[in-house]
Amino acid sequence: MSSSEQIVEARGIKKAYEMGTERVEALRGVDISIQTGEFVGIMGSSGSGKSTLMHILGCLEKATEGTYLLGGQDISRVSDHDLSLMRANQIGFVFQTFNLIPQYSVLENVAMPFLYRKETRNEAGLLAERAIERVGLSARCNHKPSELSGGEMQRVAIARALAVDPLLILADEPTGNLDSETSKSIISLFSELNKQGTTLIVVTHEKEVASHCQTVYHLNDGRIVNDEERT
Amino acid sequence: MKWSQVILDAWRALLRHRLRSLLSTLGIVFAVVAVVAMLAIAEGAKREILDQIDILGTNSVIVRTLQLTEAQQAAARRRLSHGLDLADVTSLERAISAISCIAPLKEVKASLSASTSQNPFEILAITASYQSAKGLGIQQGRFICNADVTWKNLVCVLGHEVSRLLGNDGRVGGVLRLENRAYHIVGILQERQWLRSKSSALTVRNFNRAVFIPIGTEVMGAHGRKEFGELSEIWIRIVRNTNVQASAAAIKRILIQRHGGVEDFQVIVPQELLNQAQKTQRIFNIVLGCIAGISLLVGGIGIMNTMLASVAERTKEIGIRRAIGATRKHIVVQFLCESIVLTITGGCIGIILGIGGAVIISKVAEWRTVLTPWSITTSILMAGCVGLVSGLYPAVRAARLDPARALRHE
Repeated sequence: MSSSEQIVEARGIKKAYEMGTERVEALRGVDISIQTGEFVGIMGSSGSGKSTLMHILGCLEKATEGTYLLGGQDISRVSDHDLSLMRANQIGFVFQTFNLIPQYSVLENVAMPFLYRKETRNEAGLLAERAIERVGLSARCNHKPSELSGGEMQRVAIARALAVDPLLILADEPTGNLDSETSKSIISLFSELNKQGTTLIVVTHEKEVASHCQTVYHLNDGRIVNDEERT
Repeated sequence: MKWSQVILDAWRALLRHRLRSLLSTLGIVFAVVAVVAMLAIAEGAKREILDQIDILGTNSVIVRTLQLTEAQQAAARRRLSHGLDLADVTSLERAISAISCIAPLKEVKASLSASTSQNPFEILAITASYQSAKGLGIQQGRFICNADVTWKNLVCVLGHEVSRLLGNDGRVGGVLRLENRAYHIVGILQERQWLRSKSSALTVRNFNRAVFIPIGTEVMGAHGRKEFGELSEIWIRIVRNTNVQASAAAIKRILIQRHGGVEDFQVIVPQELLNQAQKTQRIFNIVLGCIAGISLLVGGIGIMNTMLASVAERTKEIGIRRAIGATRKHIVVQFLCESIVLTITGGCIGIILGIGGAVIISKVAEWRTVLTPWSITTSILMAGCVGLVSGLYPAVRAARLDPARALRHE
């Protein structure tokens, strides 16, 4: 993985929703480019369009206008099916509310993405176990999400995102539902994963979280107001 | 796509709502119970009729005396009819060339020392032709011959069970007392399979419990006067490859003529009864089909309802699955699989209950029931199809959900 490789290349992204007769513009022209191995933060108040941006970057939604290249592939005009494949193969999601499947064990939750990929059951099991090991939850493989603490659940979610070795992990307010102590440990886990070469985008409104990012984009009313870069 | 995983997941999703799943599949259960039990009954009835026809012979015609009241008998006598008699037999034999075998029979009401009142032996007065007509096998001795009939010999042939029940008295060479006469036992029949008949039109005699005597030996003596309806029955076999119906019509015509226009008899054609039975069967099948169809329709609506509820309450899960890479097809397959597993489970429960029902029916109502692999496969396939059809709309609806919006759903 060369450090100069461009993973995300978004130009002039606009997104508008039709709410009845009203047209709500969530994004009004956003440019973002992210390199391999980068740790990017996206900040903004609620309603600033940061969730929409994350959905577009994560291939959950398509932009109304603009071009979006993910790993060199233009996906602004691909079909729903191809978007699904992009999500299955290139993207890992981490959500504020963890979004684990309650009836599945930790191992099954982490192995879930493989249901929609080509790996065999055994391969899936091995890869899932390895991902669980990376987030330090090997001892909890057979527990149900309801038996875990919030921080542990988020680690499971991170393991699920990691398991398929994606190009990019997108985290939407990953510490939003956690206390400050646990938040810190999750953020340090992210930093560690980033050091191991994972490209991360974290959407947050917490300065504490943003302080760990190399680049932070500030979003306001559907536009990027400034981006700061640290080294 | 890992099928085993998908099916396992479907199971787990259904087990999370055990009661709801069970209740929603109840319609399918009832439909399958109805289908399995009714197919078993229908098949049993069909086999029963076929077996009876087999015994009676498809190319046979039976003429039976009708039970007339005293007044009707008097009216018939005035028109010079004496009911079925041996003269009828002779003239039928002479007039219709298609008759290959004709055997008259008279049921004799006489008390027999060894016969029990609950389960009396049947005493049948016959001619020698009865043996070949019914294909009776002789175990020991001989059957009644023409000379016995001509000379009115007091001889008798015993059914297998009669001989066994009489013990030492029931051997060839023994004597059987009938009313006030002694009949010499000249033969014993082989054991013969007998099926209890449920349709009154097709009475199958139990030859194992019958005593045969020469026709004519029973009327002399006590009563003296020839009673009305000398014969109870004339059994006629028609030559193969001829029209049985036409022959039956000819027989009827001749007998009416001979009886002075009085129809004091009944012509039964087993072949016709078979056709009748098949027609009834067809109606039964249509009714069965309608019941099953309605139950399945209602059951299917129930399943669709449950699946729609399931999709609605699992919107978030659908969002999660879509986010981690499930395509629309994956979601469709997941929910379809769930509804098919649900209905097939219902189908399996239905089959078990249906088989139980069939067994109970055959025990309690003494109806013959036959389970065919065909009926079970049909039921399962039917249940699966209902699952497929009623699960399709909810599944497609689940797949059409916008992933981003589904994720935001709480």
